[in-house]
Amino acid sequence: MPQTEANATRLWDLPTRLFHWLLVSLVLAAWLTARYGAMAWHMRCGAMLLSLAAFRLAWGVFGSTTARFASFVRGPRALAAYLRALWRGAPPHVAGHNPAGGLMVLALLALLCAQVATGLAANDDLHANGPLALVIGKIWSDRMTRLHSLIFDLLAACAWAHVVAIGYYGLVLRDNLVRPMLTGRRDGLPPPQPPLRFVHPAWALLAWAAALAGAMLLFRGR
Amino acid sequence: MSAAPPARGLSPRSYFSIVALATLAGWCAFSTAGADFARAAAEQLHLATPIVAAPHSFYSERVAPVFREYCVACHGRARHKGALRLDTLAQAMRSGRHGPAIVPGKAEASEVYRRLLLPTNDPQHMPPEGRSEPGEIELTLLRLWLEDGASGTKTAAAFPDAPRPPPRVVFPALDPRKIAAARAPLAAAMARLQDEYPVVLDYVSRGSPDIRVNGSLQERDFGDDDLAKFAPLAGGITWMDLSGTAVTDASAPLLASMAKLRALRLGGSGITDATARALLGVRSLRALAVDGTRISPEALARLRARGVRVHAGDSPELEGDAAN
Repeated sequence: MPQTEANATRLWDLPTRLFHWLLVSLVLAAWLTARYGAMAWHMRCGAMLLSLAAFRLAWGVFGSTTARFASFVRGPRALAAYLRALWRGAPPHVAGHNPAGGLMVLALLALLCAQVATGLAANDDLHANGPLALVIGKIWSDRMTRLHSLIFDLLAACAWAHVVAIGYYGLVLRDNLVRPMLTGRRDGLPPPQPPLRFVHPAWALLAWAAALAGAMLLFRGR
Repeated sequence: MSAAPPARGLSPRSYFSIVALATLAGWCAFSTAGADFARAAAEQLHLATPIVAAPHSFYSERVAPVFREYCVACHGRARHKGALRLDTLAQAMRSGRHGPAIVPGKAEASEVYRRLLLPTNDPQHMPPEGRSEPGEIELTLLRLWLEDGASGTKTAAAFPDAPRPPPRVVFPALDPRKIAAARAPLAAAMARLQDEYPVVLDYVSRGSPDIRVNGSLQERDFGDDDLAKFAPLAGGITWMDLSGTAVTDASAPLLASMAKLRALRLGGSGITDATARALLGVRSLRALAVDGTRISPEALARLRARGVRVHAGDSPELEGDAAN
């Protein structure tokens, strides 16, 4: 069958795609602002990342099929089987996250939540304090600051592993996984059975707005 | 699900070789540990000159202590805010995220110096609010060193205008056992008399067995009978203030027996030339105050001839004499 946009299978809903690319942008912005001492902007990025993390956790329960944790969290056997097939160069196509990708999603999300949580309590020994830094006291805030730095290293390592994996699919297996995360559609995939269910984006907007309101409340005055 | 077509792109080996190189390059470029590794590798390959401070250089002896005192807590090996380390010369010359921390020859362009000069309410001022600030001397040392080129080898001789270092005051460590042993011969008498004269009697210092007696605190209530009770301590008394007391020549023999007595105040007491003659035998005596007594000028002259500093008025020097 000729491969056209019309034949491409719809996989990723708009909220999931927006979440993915906003996450990339905001993590990069958070790193740059911390590196160059723009701590006010760093905390704004942190507030936005907090809202995104909260949204994604909710969307992973109530969102579209491919966004739900239940659809891509697999056990060790499924993961091992997938990795063996990948090593042979013939991994099966999956509508949504494959088992390895699903594990990466969980790891990145866990690290993101940990990074945001430690950031809430971190300080820079100058004038910037997270909303909870003064509540927990200097000693614990300093510990959270060290953790915040360490977790970023882990986050960066996982993000790099993710990029390497996507690069492997693209450059070695000639399977472009970036385009579906941009367009939401993927070529060469038969219609999934049972069909994928897509939740209206308005619900995503509502969920994110609520998360953002909570984040802004926490960061008020900063 | 359907299987993907066989791989047609880069071979996995080629791909992961590229990834390994990119990872190494990124690590060297973006992490502190990576940057240190890259520098060490460059020095091993003679592509970079190692920066080492000589042990007795001006940097090691005058500048590094300033960094240690005011900077290294946040800019050292364990913590390096702003990716800046000032714990070694090599790190100070190369590290720093917000511009060159050290510009040899230009103090004002060096971030480590520029930030010290900012107003204290400037968010970029260093050290941060609440931390101790370097003084004028430390700032001068830093400026001279930077303007001279931030050398790690030049000695203090190359900086004749540098403020002199403050004198090093070293207090010898106190050995409680040695002190107790030195005090042991008179300890029992000391304890008994301190119970009776708690303010009058004490040791000269916490590390000394020498004894000081300040009978002047009791004024006319302190007399010869009281002083006689201190006879067991005669061999250990080095400082005594009996000014304004009721002590008379009756205590002269006791005073003459104090072989370690260095400073004595007898102003306003009841002594006469008899006591002055007795004191001629105290070889250790250095200072004597006798204002308001009936000692004759001839007796004073004899004491002075023996080398005793005799004061007719207040004698603040006596305090120092007791300490020597």
